Amino acid sequence: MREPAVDLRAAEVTWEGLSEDDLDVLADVLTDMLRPPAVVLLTGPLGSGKTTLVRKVFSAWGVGQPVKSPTFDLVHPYLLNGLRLYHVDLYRLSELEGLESLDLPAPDEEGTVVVAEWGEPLAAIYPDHWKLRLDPDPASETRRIRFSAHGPRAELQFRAGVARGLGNLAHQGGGQ
Amino acid sequence: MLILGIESSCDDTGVGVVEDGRWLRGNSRLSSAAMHARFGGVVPELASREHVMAIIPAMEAALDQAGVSLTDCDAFAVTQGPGLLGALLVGVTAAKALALALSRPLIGVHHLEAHLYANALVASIEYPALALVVSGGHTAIYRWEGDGRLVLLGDTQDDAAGEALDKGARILGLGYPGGPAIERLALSAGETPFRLPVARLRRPQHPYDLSFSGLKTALAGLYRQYPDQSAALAHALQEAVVASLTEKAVQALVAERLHRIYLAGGVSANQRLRTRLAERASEFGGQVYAPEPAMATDNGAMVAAAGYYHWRLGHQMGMHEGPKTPYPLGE
Repeated sequence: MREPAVDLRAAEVTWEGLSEDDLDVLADVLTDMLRPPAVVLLTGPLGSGKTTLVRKVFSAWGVGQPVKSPTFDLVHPYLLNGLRLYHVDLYRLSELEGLESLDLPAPDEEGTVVVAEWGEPLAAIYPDHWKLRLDPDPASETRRIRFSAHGPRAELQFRAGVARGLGNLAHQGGGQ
Repeated sequence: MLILGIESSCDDTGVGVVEDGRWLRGNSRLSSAAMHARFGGVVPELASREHVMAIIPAMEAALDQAGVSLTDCDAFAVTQGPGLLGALLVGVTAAKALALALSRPLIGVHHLEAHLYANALVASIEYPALALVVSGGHTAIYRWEGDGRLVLLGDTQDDAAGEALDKGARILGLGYPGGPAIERLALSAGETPFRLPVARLRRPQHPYDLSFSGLKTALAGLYRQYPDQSAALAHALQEAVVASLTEKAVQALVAERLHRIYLAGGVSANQRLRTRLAERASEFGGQVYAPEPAMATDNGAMVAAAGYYHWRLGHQMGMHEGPKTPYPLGE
């Protein structure tokens, strides 16, 4: 795993060479970075580690039950100390029409976190959001991460989050 | 006791009429899969709307087949969860309306337990037994002590077995639904040189938990290396899924000192799973039971059957209750 490349002005982090085990480091960083209300749209091909990442983050936050793939149910809501976490998966979804029947929180709704796999369509509903793309590199069996913020509120949160999350990482001596 | 059961937890609208939880009188299923195929996936609002449009015709067809009318039904049962909230709401609302209008008992049923009771339409369930529910959305192993008494022994920690097959099919460029496509292609391969990893979870407290998500990454990697070997890879994928399910189920069978395995859910229609599970179980004196393939996927008859056994236990659903999702079972 290489040192992440941080571009604070563009609110963007690129990170290359993450192995399967490095997903734990990424999850730790995300766990520290996220503060409600937040929306994270995950993209990347089948098997790139999207569900695994969400499971690690939600478990670190204290979700006790197994965090399973929500592909079939589209949404798995978790209640946690007054927080509402939504694990969304739009893999089976084809149209933006009717997303409201998923009963997701309103933009910037207090105490909510939405993490959506195949989440690109939700950008239209949540003007403020983070995007995290996982790209496997078949040759080296590692992943490339591209993590960015979109919308003024999300960018502010992102910069604070990067300082917190990646700061902790540097403190632990990770990222080498 | 004639019960009409309604299932609307996912893509299919199912209505079944079952007598005494054992005898199938009528069954009708309208699938929105065709509609979704046209859009290339599920449209959630459309799914709910489809259920609304399908539920009355499905009910009329099931009653017609049974040769009875609504007033002949002694109770109404419905899948209360888990599933897609908007979809569940349609079935629950319809069942409530029927029960209220005709002054009949209303019984809410857990979707996975309903799948297991599809076995009661073949022969009476003999307890205690091991129960293995395998579908596109769920994969779980239970100790089935008696009617309404299930103890969760193992559960998938990530993807469902059917989801592993569906997504594997997508990786290999096969059509939807992926399970049958994988099964057909696997048959054409005969033996395979490929071995996909069967996840070994290090969780001593939960020895029967399963994991299938690693299969996607491994399969995608192999397919990139061997793009002309899709049949052999389909074979390897099916073997890995079947081996994982079979080994966990047989371990649980032996440890729990049981002799019967009730299989249920859409993936129970997979012939390789049925054969392999039966072979391995018989080595330990176990026997495998499975529903008719037509009753393996989501349907209303299994809900009507499950509803009967819960009604016998005195369970009823209140008029103020709604759908439940998530809805843990036996934990």
